[in-house]
Amino acid sequence: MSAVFVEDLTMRYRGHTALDGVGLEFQENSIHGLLGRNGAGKTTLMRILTGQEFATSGRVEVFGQPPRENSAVLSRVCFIRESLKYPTNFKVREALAAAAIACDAWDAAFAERLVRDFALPAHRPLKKLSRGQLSAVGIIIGLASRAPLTLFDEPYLGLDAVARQVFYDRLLEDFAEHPRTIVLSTHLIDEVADLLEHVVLIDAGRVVIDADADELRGQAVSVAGSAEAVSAYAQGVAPLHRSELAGRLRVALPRRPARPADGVSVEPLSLQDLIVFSTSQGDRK
Amino acid sequence: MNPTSKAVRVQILKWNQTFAIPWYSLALAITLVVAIYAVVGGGASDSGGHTGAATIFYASSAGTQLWLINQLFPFCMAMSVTRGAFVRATMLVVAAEAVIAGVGLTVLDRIERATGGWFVHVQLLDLPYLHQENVFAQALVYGVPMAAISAVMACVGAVFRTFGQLGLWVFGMGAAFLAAVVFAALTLTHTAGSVGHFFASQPSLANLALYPLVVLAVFGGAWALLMMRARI
Amino acid sequence: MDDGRPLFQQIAEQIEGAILDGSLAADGQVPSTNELAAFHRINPATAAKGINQLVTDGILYKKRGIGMFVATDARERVLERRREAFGRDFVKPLLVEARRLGLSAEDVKKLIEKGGQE
Repeated sequence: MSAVFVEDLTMRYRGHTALDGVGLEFQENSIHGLLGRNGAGKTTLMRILTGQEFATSGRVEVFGQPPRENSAVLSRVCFIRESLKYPTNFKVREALAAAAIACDAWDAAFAERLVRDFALPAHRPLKKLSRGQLSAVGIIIGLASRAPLTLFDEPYLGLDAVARQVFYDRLLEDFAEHPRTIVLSTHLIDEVADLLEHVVLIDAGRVVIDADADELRGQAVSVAGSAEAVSAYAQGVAPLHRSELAGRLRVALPRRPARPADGVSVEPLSLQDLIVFSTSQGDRK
Repeated sequence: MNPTSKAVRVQILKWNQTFAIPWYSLALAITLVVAIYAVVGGGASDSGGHTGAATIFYASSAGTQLWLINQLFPFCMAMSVTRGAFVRATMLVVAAEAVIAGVGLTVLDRIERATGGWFVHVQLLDLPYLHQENVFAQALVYGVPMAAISAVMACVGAVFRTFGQLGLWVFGMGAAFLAAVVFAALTLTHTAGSVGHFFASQPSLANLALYPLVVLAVFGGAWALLMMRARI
Repeated sequence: MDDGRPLFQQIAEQIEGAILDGSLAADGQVPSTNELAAFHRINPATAAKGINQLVTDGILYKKRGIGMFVATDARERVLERRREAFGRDFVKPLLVEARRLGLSAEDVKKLIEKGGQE
C-alpha cells in the first residue's frame, strides 16, 4: 500500500508554475529521497501533502485520503521544515511537550535520549538557540513523533557533519525497529544516498527520475576512453553529460549499453553525479 | 484524542502567556494605584478617585492573539493540527478568557465596593459607566469587551498572516478611511449629535456588552474565514 | 560503502568474503538485517536484499524466528563461483592491458612466475 499517492498535480502561484503535472507514489514503510535543486518544487509538494498549501489541480492522497483539513490523515503526519517557525518564547522542553500533545505516537524516552545526543540545553528558550540547535529540535521532533509519514525538508541547516551523522544513525536505528514512511528532501545527496530505498528527482516542477535507489546505482555509468571508442560503445544511448579533452571523451550514460566494452573504461556513476547530470544546469528563479 | 482538544492543550501549554498576562498587569496597576493613594493620602476621599488603570487589563490582553496567530499557528500546523481544529480551539480559549475576565473582574469589583475603594477611596473597577447592580450584567460588561478585543486583534493577526505587511497597511488605512467617511457623512448631514445621543441614551449594558458582541461576531467571522485559507 | 555498484551486491560480497576467510563459520549465525544496516549505514531494505540474494544462491539459510545462518557447504559454493569469475574479472582485463602494453601471453606468464616482482 502507498502512503502517498499523487497524480497530475499542478500548483500555480502568481503566474509561476511550481509543480507541473507531478505524479508519484511513496510506498509505506520505506525511506524515500525527494531530491532536486532549490526551487525545484520539493517544498511545495510536501506542503501540499501536509495540507499547508492548496494545490491548483490534481489528485493527492495520503494514506488513501485527501490530506487537506483531514485530521484523521494529518494526525499520522509530521513535517519538519528547514524554516519551521517555533514559538520563540517556548523553551526546548516546551516545544517537545507541544509536539508530544500533537503527535499520537510520540516516544518521550526517545526524545530525551536525542536531546542528550545532540547536547541540547532543554531549558533554554528557542530564540536563544543557534541555527544548528534549532535544526536539532526539529530533527528530535521528527524522529520522536514516530509519525507513520514523516517528512524532513532540509532538516539540518547549521548542523555540523558529526551531528548530521547522529541524525542518520538514529534515523536508521529507529526505522529498523519502528518501520514507517520517511521522506527525506536534501541536496546533500552523497550523505544520504545509502539510506534511501527510493529516489524521486524533481526538476523545474516535474518528476525527472522515479526509481529504486539501488537500481539507479547499478544502471548509470561513466564511460571514458578515446573519443572513437566511447562513441562506438555509447551509440544509441543518449548521454546525460559529456566532456572532452585532448581526444579523450567521458560521457555519463543513464544505462549500460548492451555491448562489450572494448577499449573504454566503464565505471558506475554515483547517485550524486547522476542527479547533477539529470538536473537542468541553468540559473532559475 | 480529539483534534480540537489537542490544539487547546497546545494553546494553553504556556498558560501564563495565554491567560495570565492581563491579570499580572491588573495586579500591578492595583498595587501601584493603591500605594500612591495611600501615600498622597485620602484627599480625594470626598469625590472618590476614578482611575483608568483597569484599561491596562484589556490593553495587555491584546498581544496574546498576535502571539497565537503568528507563532503558535504555524507551529501547530507543522505539528499537523488542522486549521479547523486551531480555529475551534482558539474560540474555546477566547471564550474561557472572557468568562475568567467577567467572573474575576466582577469579584474584584465587589471587593472594591465592599472595602470602600481598597480602603483608600479609589475606584479602579467600579467606574460610573461600568457600574451594574446585577452581578450577571456586571460580568457581561467586563467579559464581553475582552472577547471583542481578542476578536479584533485576532483579525489583525490573520490579515497580517494572509496578506503580510502591505495587507495590514491596507487594512489599517481602509479602516481609517471608512471612519473618516462615516465621520464626514455624519458631520455633513448634521447627524453626529444624534448618533452620540443614540449611544448616550442606550443602557450601558447595551453599549458595553451588546455592541461589543456585534464587534466580536463581525471580526471573529472575518478572522475564521481568513484562517481557513491561511498557508504557512 | 563507497564504490558505485548496487549496495545489496556489496553487502552480499562482504558476507561471502567473511565466509571465505572463515570469520563466518558453517552453520554460524549471520548478523541481522538491522545490524548490517546500522553498521554499514545503509537502508535496512537494501541490506535485506543482499541477504536474500545469498539465500537464493543457497549460501545462507533461514531459521524461522531466529535468523540467517551460513549453509554447511557455503564456503565451497562461494569458492566455486569466485573461481569461475576469476578468469572474467581478473585474467581477461590483465590480458587486455598486457596487449595494450605490447606484452605477449608468454611475457605475462613469466611475470606471474616471478610473482609479479620486478
